[in-house]
Amino acid sequence: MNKTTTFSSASLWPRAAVLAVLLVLVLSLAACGAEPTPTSVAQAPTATEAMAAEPTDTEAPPPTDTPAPTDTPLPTDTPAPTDTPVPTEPPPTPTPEPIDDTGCIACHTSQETLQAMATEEEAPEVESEGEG
Amino acid sequence: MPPLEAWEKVYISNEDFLDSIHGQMGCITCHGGVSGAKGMDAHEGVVREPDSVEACGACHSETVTADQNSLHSDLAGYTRVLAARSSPENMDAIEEMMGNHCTTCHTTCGQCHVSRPTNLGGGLTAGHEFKEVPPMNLTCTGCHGSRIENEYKGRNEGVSGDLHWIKNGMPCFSCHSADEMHGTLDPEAEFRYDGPPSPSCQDPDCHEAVAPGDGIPNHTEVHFEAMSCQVCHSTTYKNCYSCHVAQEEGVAFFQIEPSVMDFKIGRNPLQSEDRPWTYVPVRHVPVDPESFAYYGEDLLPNFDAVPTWKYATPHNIQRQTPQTESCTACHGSTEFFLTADDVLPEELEANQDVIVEEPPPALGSSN
Repeated sequence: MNKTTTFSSASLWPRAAVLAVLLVLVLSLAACGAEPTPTSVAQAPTATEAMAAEPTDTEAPPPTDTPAPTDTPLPTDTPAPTDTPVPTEPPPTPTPEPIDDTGCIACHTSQETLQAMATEEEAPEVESEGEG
Repeated sequence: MPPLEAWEKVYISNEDFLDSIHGQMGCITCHGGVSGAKGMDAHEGVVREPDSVEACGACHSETVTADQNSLHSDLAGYTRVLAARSSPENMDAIEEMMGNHCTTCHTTCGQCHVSRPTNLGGGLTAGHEFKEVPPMNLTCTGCHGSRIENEYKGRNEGVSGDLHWIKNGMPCFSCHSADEMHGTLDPEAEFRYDGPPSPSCQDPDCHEAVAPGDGIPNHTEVHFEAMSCQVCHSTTYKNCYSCHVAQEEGVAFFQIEPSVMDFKIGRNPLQSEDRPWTYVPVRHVPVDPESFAYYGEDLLPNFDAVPTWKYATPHNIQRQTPQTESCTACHGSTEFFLTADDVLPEELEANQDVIVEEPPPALGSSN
């Protein structure tokens, strides 16, 4: 005759309790023995990355009014450096000698000097006759 | 006009000039000379009268360029008429004569705006100040004195001066503009009366309302077509005869007969669309067939090619003149007209175009 094994609920509780304790124990041990997984930390992009960043799909703000031009002169283009060596000393430039006419003015603004130096022009010996 | 003393000619009496734009240029810039030198040593290379083009042209280029062709500068009117009386083979001698006797009348910028003309001995007019409007008595009438000035100012004995001067004190430039003086009005003009009258009596702001039918009895259509204004409104003026030029020891001189006061109406030798009148006053000019005999024989072989009684615009304008006293002054009378009897026998041929054969018919006559 077959022997049927039956378990009553009263007999299962101790076993379930043991299993549960063992399971918790295993899990706890496993947790204590593992390396902690590093979480990703947000970092600010470098300047280079930021400049090179792809444009986002974010809609651009509406354009503002273009400012009126001012009288400030625009910067001129800086000439590209060349390989021409820069002379260390500029070549000598001839400086024009300033004209000094103080001697002219001194005489020609002095009535006394002019009278002393003047020589009357000789009248021509032949004179015209009649109305010119 | 007595010449200035030698020192006076070069005296900068007005030192404000030195602060003016011309004064700031410095003496040597225009006149040359030796920088830094004193006394007479500074005069080496000095040019008393700077060249108009070099000294003035950089700033006043338009005026200076035009002025090179003005009659004041190139004396083209004289050259033209002498060439007409002469012949190509004689022109070298004629030009030599002109160089000795005529070019002192040739003007430069400085001879009007800074100094007296060389013809008058030169000399600063206002302490070297540059006069935009030259002083009339030292420049304009300094050269145009014996005829124009005396007429205009009433210095011919017994003849009133010009109303424009006597009554209104109008200086020369009231009528004669800078453009006219500088030759910019008509650069192609070859002589004083070339082209339309300038100035004209009927210019704007002058007598522009004067016209036939303006209410003045004698201002009729016929009179306006027949006569220039001066036929009725100018009076006795000076006529010159027989000028001869020569040199003695390098000194150029002239001799001329005493002038003759007269008023003559001739046929218009320049009749044109611009000057349509039949009659104009005519003045005898001092040329003579032997005027330039010192420079060669028979230098004026075509003497008769040009009248010796020339188109004239006397500067002694009057409202009333002997011609306006009555109709019979001109109609039926030869008194004021140039007839053959008024012309020297040797000049009859030259004046055929201006001699009046018959005066206007007497009023009421059948002629």
